[in-house]
Amino acid sequence: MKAIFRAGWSALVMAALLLSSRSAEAQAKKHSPGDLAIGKLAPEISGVDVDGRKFKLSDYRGKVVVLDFWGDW
Amino acid sequence: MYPHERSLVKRLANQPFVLIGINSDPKARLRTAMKANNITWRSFWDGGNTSGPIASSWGVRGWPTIYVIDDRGVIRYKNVRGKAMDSAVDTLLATATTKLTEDLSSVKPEARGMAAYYLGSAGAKGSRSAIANLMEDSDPVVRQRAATALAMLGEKTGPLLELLRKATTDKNSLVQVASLGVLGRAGDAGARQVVVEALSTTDTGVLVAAIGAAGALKASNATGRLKTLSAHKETSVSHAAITALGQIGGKDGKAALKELAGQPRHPARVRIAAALFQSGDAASGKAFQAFLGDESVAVRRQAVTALASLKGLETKSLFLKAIRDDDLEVRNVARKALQGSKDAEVLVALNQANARDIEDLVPQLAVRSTAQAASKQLQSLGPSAAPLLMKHMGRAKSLQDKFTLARVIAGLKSPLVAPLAATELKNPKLDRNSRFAFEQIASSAGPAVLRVATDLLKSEASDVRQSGLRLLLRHDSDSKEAQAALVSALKDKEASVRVLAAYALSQKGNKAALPVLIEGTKSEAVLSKQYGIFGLAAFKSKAASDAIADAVLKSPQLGRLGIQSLQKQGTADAARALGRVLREGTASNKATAHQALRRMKVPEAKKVLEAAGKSAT
Repeated sequence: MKAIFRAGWSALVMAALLLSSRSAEAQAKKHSPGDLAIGKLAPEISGVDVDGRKFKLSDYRGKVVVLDFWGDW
Repeated sequence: MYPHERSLVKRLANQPFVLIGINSDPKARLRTAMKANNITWRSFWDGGNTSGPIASSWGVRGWPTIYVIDDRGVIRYKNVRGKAMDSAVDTLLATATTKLTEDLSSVKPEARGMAAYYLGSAGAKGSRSAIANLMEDSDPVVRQRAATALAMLGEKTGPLLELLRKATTDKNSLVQVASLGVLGRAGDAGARQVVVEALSTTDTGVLVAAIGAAGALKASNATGRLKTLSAHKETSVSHAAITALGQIGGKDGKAALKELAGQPRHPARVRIAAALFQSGDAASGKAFQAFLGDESVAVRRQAVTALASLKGLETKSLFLKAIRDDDLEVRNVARKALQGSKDAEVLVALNQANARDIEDLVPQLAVRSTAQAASKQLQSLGPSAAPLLMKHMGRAKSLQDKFTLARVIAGLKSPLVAPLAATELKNPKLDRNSRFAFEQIASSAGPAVLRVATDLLKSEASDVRQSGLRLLLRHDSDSKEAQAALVSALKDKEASVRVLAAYALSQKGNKAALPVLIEGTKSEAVLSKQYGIFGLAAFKSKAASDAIADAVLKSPQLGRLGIQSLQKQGTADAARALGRVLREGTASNKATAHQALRRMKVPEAKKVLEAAGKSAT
């Protein structure tokens, strides 16, 4: 009985540990390279800034936008 | 990188241009970087690591990656840096403004309207007079867009306001509505007369807009007309009129409202009281006492919602009454209004209300049909409910109940919960279920997790140290502190702790983990074996592949996990290791290994399969 519980428990721990990375992947629907080619309408981005405030790429329609994927490293 | 971007943003401050970042750092590091480098532009925060949802969906593999997008949202350049970036942006800006300015005189009304709109939203102040001319356009949609554009340009100059005042008598009602709205928001006192004139229209939409403007402009000369309109058969009109009378206030506004309040069964009596209250009539607070005690739930809900919409008034005692209401919705509005207060009396009332709602809602979590709604409602209680919920979680018996509550608590983002969870986790006698639930809560603490985790790693009890490691594992930081803590845990006296640390390090690509992971695959404990195999999947080395194959042959029940890990390694060594499983493994593992080899791209996989085929025949 105890052994069964242990195996169940370990599966649970594993599942939970893997969950965080998997759910992030599931959220991201990949755009095809063709959708991101020059001349194509940029796909919408909606998300939050560092303070958790929501905003969207399309909020800036009418402006020229430099989109900079960056990190401080 | 930063200095160039800073100067670009500064140079184009008054142009329709914006730089937007998509940042892959943990929040704390992003904050520091923004401060240290004087970064004024906004960034999407992409989950704290390089596999965030935005970077993944855009297929970004290298950083920085640059896209330059024109004013219509079309991708026009990629990965331009330095001077090339400057000239790309300048080209697009020139084309954008020129094209749009040309479009202002296009023969197509749609193009004229959109050009005005885009120039307005881009803040192109140089186009102001050209857009103003469109206020005389023959097409009503163009006039409407021009009015909106002028509002976005935000100029409150005389000539512009004059145009908008004129537009309140436009023959198109949409233009009238737009201009009345703009004048009200602009606070143009000179527009009071035209607004009052607009109040005689028969078009309901225009009427509501005019009433709104009259209220916003405190047009006291509209009081008489508004009083008449408060009896209008359309409720949208009568309600707006009542609210406007409250905004205007003064002797006349108050008198008009008091007269209405004299009718005890008036269908809009709550709104009338709210308007009176807003106009500065303190006595109407008493009317609210009565409404909040009304036997009809609908009246009580209306009353508390109306109270919440009032600004700058002393409403505490009324909300204190509402938060004790029997109806959850009434309590929720009151709770939201009182949230964040430091008043002792308010805090007591909030805690009592939370206790009551938690008692009601927690049992509903265990019932499938009510669980989702209950979880949502618990979430709406806000951070102040967290400590009480933690107590409930401690008492909950089933694993599932504990986890459901842990998720709710973690979602509250209360600064109170992480320290409480840390204290619980330090208790070596904590049962496994609770330990895991408290870890989930502690993980919601943001950067503070690091401190909690290193603290737990100092414990004498191995269960507690494992908690610390699991927190580090979930934490997205690659900080030196976290790495150092993990590396030193590789020497822990307890094997289970060592293997967990090695697994965490393997996920960050740290090779120091390798020998400990191999040790893990040889362990008797199932969990250590699993961590060992999972961790080794991240390394492409012969030793790692061989150890996984050994583990699969020794513990066939882990076959699927091991074979998938070898497939993930994808190397020639992994293919040969799978070959061993193919020769020596159990029947079901043989079949799984066969499938894995067929999916692998490395040439060695084919050879292994061929060799196996020959020996079989």
